Amino acid sequence: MKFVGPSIDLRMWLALLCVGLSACAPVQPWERGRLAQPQMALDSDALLAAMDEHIYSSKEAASGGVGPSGGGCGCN
Amino acid sequence: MARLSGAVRSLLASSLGLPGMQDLLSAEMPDDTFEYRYTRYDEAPLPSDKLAFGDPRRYEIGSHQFRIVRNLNETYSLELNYLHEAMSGSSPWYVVPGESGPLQVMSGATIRERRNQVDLSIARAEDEYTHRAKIGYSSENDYRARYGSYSGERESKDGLRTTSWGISYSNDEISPTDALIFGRVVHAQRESLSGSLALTRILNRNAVLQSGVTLSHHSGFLSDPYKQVWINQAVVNDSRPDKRLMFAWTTRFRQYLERSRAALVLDYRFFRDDWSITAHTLELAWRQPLGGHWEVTPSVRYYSQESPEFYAPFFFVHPADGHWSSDYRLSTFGALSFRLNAEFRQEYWSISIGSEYYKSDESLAMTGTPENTPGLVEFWRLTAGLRVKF
Repeated sequence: MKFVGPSIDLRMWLALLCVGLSACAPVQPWERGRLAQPQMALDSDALLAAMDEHIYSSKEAASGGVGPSGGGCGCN
Repeated sequence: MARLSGAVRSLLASSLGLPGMQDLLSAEMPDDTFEYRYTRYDEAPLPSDKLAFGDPRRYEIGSHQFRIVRNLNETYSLELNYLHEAMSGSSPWYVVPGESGPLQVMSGATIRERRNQVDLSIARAEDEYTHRAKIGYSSENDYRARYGSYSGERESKDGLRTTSWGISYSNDEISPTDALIFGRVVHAQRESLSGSLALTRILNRNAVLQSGVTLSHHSGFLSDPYKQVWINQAVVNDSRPDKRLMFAWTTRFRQYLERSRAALVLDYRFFRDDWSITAHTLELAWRQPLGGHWEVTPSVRYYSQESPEFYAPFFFVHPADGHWSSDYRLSTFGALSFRLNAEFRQEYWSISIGSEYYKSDESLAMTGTPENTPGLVEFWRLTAGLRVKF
């Protein structure tokens, strides 16, 4: 078995992402009020996000998100 | 969400009279919090035309989650999580050829078990750095996991970029029930080691983007002791490779929409591993604040995966490499889920309710060559939560 690297399409998306991450308008601290609104949070509810990961990773072959993972389970 | 630097925090502290500044500061300095969430998970019974024999009633799970965050001082905070869940139902066992396609054999007796999981983490936040260490333990009658992780993040001087990283380790022990009766492995171990790196970027005053990768390595007994495989009239134990290297790339985007005060949520994950599984996950949500402190979030999630080389519903020839599995979770399939969550927020407390319908089917696969997979799951989830700041 070999670990297959990203396809050409994936590399194209990665390149676009790098451009997106680097080409940003300066935002002053007093201009960030909307970004701090609850609806803009990356994870709006920690317990809900943990349960999502628990359920989906026990029913699907893929797992992993942003950040370190927890322990496994014998879920069927 | 990116943290704010000490200088910015000081500036904000003197600007609290301005509209919006209270919210901005409170996002940086989380309160001591208690949270509870109950989740009811119900899988639909297996249709009779897909069942060979066994109990068609599938899993029902009730989960209780508790979370406490306590700030010790301006630098250190503790977080305690506890999960208790009770499961009952029968589980897909193996697949046999039928006249009109594969038929699922289910476990005959209803499985009843409980799982408890607890983890404790300590975080240190100072200047532009945050460090967090966590240890945890999960126990059920046939499975134990001991795990730990370290994660950190660093915010840039201008507060526009946050770099996050983490490593985690888990040591799991498996002691299947009725091992001698069913010829299962009596005791086995597996280990998992993962590392992650992510970058969060404020794109403009209305948008934020996060992108990160996770690489994880699993070794040991990676087969499912409760799954079997039909190979040319014989039924043998599930047999998977004893190593697995997984890669996940996740990108999350949030866009604030001024006119509706809503947030558009777009998450995408690309997954690939050395078992030749490729998967895509796309989630789209609309978080809409309403009058009277309510917020509703409708969302849709799409998932698609391609099966590994050693998967088939059944085999007529013994695979030469000694690896085979008929676990429906390794098949080529796609899944759609629809969710609706609602939250009512007050200054010091909030309640939330939510519902999800999830349906997986081989016809929903985006790529690959799907085969008829009778065990694919369909479930409902209902959840309710409470959060109190103290």
